Amino acid sequence: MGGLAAGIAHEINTPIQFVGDNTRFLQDAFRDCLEMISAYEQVYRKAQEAKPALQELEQVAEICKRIDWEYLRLEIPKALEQMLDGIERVAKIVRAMKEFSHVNRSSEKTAADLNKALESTLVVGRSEFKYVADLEVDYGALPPVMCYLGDLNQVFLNLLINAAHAIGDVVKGTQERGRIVVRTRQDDDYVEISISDSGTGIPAGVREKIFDPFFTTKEVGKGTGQGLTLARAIVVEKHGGSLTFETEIGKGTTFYVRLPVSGSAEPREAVAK
Amino acid sequence: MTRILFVDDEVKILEGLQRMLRPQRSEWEMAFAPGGKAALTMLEASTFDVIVSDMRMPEIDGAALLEIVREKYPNVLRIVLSGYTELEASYRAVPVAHQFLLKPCDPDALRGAIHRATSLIEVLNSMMLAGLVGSLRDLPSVPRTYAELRRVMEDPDSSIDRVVRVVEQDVAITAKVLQLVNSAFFGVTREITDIKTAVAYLGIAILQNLVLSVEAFRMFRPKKKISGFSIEEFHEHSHLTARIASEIAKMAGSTDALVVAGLLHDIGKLVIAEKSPDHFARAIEGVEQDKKPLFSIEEDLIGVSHAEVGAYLLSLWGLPSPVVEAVAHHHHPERVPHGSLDMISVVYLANLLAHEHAGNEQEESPPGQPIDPKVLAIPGVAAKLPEWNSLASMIAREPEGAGHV
Repeated sequence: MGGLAAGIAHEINTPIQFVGDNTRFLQDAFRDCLEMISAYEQVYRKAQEAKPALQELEQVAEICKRIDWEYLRLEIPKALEQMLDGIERVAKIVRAMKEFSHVNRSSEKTAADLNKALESTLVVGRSEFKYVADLEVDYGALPPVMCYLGDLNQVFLNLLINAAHAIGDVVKGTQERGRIVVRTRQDDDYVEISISDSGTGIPAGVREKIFDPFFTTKEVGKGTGQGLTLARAIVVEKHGGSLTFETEIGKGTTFYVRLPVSGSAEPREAVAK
Repeated sequence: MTRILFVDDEVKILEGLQRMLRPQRSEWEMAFAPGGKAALTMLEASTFDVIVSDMRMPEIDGAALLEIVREKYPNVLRIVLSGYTELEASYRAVPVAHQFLLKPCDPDALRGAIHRATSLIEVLNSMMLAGLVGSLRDLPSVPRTYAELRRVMEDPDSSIDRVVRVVEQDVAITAKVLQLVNSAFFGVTREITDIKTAVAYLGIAILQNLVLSVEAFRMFRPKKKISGFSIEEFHEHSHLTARIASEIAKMAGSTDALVVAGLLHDIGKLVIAEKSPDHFARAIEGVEQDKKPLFSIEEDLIGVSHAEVGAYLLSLWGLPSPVVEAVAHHHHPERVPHGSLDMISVVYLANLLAHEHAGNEQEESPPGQPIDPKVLAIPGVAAKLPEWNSLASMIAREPEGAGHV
């Protein structure tokens, strides 16, 4: 999670940087504008007294030129717009983090909108994939699902990070980008969430082991080998769902999370399709 | 006019910088590239003095970009402005960046970093105009272990053990540091055999400074033998100066940074001896002919001396400005006002005393240089001088007093 936190920090630091720069700009610009307005006030006073204000107008012209009013009048609205955009970006990330780290207040399952949950997971995990892959989402209409939402968010994030790493292994050192597709659909009493990547695919020899505790093919520091084990425990044992995958070497992998809408069913074993 | 190229994949960052830095437009010519590729195209089309780049970018990231810039455009100063606090990212950038800034970056810090780089460009330009070197700008970036130590120390979660691990990764550095720690320098009474104990005795700040000087000294290896200049004597003199400086400082309120200022005050000599051996040999010949100190011969030849070159290097490496100033002015304390015994005057005095009492024949600096009246006027200096003088003579005569770095 350390890497993820750094990624989120980066996502937040970027807008904060440009909001700060623009604020500094507006501070300078406002000081310039004030100078110009006071010059105009001189003109106004002369006009009120019906006196010629040629000298004052020259002063106004001089200030406009010096502060580059033509530039300021164009840039100030853009700066404001980008500041609002930056603040919205930070707010979106903070909102998503709040939703993502949803704490189950009671030990009971609660009804949740999984499309919305996926949306915040994608915001939280964006820094993990945005340099290697394009994202495509295809949300089907889903009924509220009885679940432990905080746990499921962890599952989704885990699958997303795995997808990003699998693509990273393929595009590393090239200028290519991969593709992650997130789909949801309802299937009778179940909902199915699938996360596909255009990554390396899982080699035949390790397909049976990927859910084993501490099994990992990732280099040290990139994974603990616990992610899929935990994910399966959450999906199968806590929700009576299933966690399966389809994979093809060189094409990529799709993980399917199937969950009963009611929140319980006979637990099914995870198997490779 | 300084030409600066800003690189970031986020266009809004570039536009924000452009607006914020607009007041600088009379002194800076700024260009903005929305990514590594665009930056390389712009570098090909026109010349720049400074590049300020983001780290994480698609296609060509900051570390890769700066690596190319170092190879193809060694004259361009490289600054990283990164949103990542991630250590991995900064480690990758350290070898290729002269300075490292973190987003969100306070505008004054950014302006300060660029000003620091540009004021040094002026010093260098005067050296280049004088025909000193073609490639002096291609200086090595911050020494790796020192840079890693700095990062570890900035991390509030770090521990002594992490500091120790960073140093011990490099066996040669560990050995040299322990050798220094056990020399008469620090007056440690029992032998210290590991870095952890050394930290406990001396503190992390001193350790960091020792690591830096060890790395800096081994970084420059003059290929040509220059008559009248000996690396061994150079090391001895650096060491002696640092010792005298810290003894003087003990009486005047000590600072850890003095050790590093003392050790590295002449680092510019190594830089010039490696990068421009002919010029250096000429300057040393001049010392013998004219019976004047090296720095003034260098100044006669090209307008600046090893002091400025050394300060330039240390400033590129981001050392605190008191250290940089002490190195820059160690022959010219009169350039700055002194209210009290500051680092500049201490290093200046220690350097003079070290030359005065050096056991060997210091060809580069004939003894008997008068002490600058401005320094003599600092309260307490005139009174203490005889004491420091005999102290320096005592330290210089200690058998292991100088020790090699």
